[in-house]
Amino acid sequence: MSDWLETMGVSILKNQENSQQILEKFVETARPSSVFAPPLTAGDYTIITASEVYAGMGVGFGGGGGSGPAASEEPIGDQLSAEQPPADEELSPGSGVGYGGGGGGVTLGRPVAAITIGPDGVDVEPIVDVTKIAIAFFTTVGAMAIMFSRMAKMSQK
Amino acid sequence: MPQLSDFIRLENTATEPIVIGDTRITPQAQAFSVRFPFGGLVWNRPTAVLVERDDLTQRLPIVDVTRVAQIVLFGIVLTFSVIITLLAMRQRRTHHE
Repeated sequence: MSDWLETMGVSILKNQENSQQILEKFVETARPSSVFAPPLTAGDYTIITASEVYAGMGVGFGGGGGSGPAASEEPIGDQLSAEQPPADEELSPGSGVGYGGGGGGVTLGRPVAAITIGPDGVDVEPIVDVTKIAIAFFTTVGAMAIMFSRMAKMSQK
Repeated sequence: MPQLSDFIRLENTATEPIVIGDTRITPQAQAFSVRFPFGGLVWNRPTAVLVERDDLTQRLPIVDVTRVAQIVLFGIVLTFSVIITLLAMRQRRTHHE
């Protein structure tokens, strides 16, 4: 039983070390090359796309436990011997242990601007995400409408 | 003893300069990272471009128009909700009086 536990403990430690290595690699997404795309050339113009990058991840591990054989249990005080479990049950092996782990992650990217290098010089052209702005706008209008209606109800009372 | 900087970091980084003709471009970015023993979060965004041409260095900032618009709209809602709350409180007071 103790060997099994030791094996499990070593396994958990190895998995934790592996997760640390994955985390180290994950933090490498903070490097600027993940933000700026490689330059694309078309005629006299070269374009570099700049994007915003989010990345998040998490891992988790869980262990377990077990109980030893019932032989260690001794009668307390004047307990009758009939209440004691049979001898063969006392020698039964202990119950096992459980172990589990899991992880997850997400990476998102959104273009922010395009850097154009041409004969006229260097320009930074913003890239506007109309969908995001529209969603934010309608959420704003909705929130304001709800507040207005509540205010109107309160004034009627 | 672990320090706060071991978990939360804000660093300004730059890529290798790109040379196109007589223009040398250095894109700059800012990375915000939060690290936990079993997880982490990285937010990396472009901040500016350094343009070196004819012994002149120019810094062109990269503005995230979408983010600015979102913040403005959020600010409008926040201001509006504060005004509405204040008006409601004033109205209640006048009713009580």
